[in-house]
Amino acid sequence: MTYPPPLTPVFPAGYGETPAGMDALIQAPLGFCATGIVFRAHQTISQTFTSAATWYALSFDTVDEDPWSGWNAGTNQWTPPASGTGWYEVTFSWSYASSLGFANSSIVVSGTRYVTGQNASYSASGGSYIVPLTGATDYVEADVRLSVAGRTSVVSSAGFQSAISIAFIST
Amino acid sequence: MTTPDFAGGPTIPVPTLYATGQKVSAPVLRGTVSDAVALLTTPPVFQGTQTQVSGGQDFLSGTAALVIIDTELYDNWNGHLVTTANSNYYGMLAGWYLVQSQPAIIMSGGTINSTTITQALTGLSVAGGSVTPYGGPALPNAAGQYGQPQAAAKLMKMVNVGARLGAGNDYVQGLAFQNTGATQYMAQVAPNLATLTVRWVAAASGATGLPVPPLAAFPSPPSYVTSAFMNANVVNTVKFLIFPPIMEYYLAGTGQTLTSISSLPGTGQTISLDMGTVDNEGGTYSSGTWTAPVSGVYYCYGQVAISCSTTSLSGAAGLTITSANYNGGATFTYWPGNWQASAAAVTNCFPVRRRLRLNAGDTVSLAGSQHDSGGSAKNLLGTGGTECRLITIWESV
Repeated sequence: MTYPPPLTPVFPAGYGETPAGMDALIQAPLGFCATGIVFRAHQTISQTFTSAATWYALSFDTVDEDPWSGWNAGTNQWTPPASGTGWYEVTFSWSYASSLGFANSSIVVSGTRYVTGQNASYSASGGSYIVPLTGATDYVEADVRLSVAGRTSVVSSAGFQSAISIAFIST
Repeated sequence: MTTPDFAGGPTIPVPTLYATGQKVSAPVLRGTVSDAVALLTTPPVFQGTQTQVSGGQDFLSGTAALVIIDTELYDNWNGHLVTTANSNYYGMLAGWYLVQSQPAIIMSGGTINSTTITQALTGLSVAGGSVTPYGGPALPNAAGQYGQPQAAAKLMKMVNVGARLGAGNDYVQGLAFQNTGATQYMAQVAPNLATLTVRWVAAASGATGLPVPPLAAFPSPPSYVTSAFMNANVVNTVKFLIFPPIMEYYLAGTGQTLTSISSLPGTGQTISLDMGTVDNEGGTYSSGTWTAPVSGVYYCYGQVAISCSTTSLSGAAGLTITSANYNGGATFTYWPGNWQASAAAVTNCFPVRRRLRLNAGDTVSLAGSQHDSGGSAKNLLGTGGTECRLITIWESV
């Protein structure tokens, strides 16, 4: 069950509401507060980063939950629902084959790159960041790059996983 | 309590249970539902960066420096000022906050860059206030790169609130530390920016032991609204949402070591944390294992702190999970990646963070791993704020 982000409900004095009206004033707003807007996915198929120093969108091939159907597996981007304009926290981790160069990871919102982490000689990267998203318009993707060509992400069914989650934080 | 200088935000509702036969009045619903929805859709959130310091903020080797935050990306409760005391985010609403701090340092070669979080609790029980740094991840240095270790995360309670810049108002800060032996500078080339993120996650206190909101539709005739219905779907729902399950435990004692292993992945060594910052459902963390009190999506953060040595320069933090939602229900350790590198014989914290969907009764433990070329175990750290730590925050049904 999904609920759109509500306006603060107004309760006029002496107003007799129907059950449907009470649902709209109480159940739906509190329903949104309880369920929010959440997207979670992870990677089970190893991804190759062919070129050095080139940004790649992480391909999260397994969607854990996406009740608002915002994920586009073709572009590896998530878009909030039309009613879901607000601030979201994006959290992701990236598991990759170690290299001796540098590795960068960032969150991209409709072409604007936001920082999450920039590391050297790591095998894991990622972070959390709060980003503004316009409903049905903006998209989020997790970008990564390595200074060494031909490396891959590292996945295992129980253990290493690249993962992403996006959660509504505030209007 | 000082006089608030900010009165624009919603208040924390304090609903009372309905009695049998009690009328459902508009004023009560305003104070319960309206306030709760206003608060929960616009809780205090702050995120700021550093972009304005000419040449980048400089800070000395070996000295923790307050991170200047001179650009606000979002500050819906006005807890931050750009020009005055701009390292501080002041609590504007009482409660628990998830605080995350991440520096961005121009690496010029050397040893280490790291991130920490401080909290100044003034006007509380600590006479004269106190400042405790909470250590976070560190990075090996590589000349020509920007050093941005993953943000350190900490749950902070702020209760003396509402007076930004007030002498008694609680605030949090980001710290950066490096010991390269030379002065270093913050990067200010987007997206390489020092960042401080603060968000309210729960009231300072509230009701516990409540179920996840049932979100039932209002009954239609001939059924009618009962006090039990209102209590379950309005009063207790609001109480739950403004004080959801949150937990932070950390290692305060000594004597635990982290065994050296030869490879990852695999089930990590469970780290038994011995001191609770908060566990508002009471007893959900015990003997190294946290048990989800209710179902839902939880934000989970962990860090493993060890003193690296010349023979032990790699480590990792993981989350050992037992849940039907993962790995067929068999216990396993989620690792965000293989071992992470440490530059030298320094204190380091290896982080892990992930949102997990858990059922009531599922368990999560902080797991650690390190590799020492000589096979030596390493002491797990729990002093001076540089500590092993596990955080869980209920976020949604």
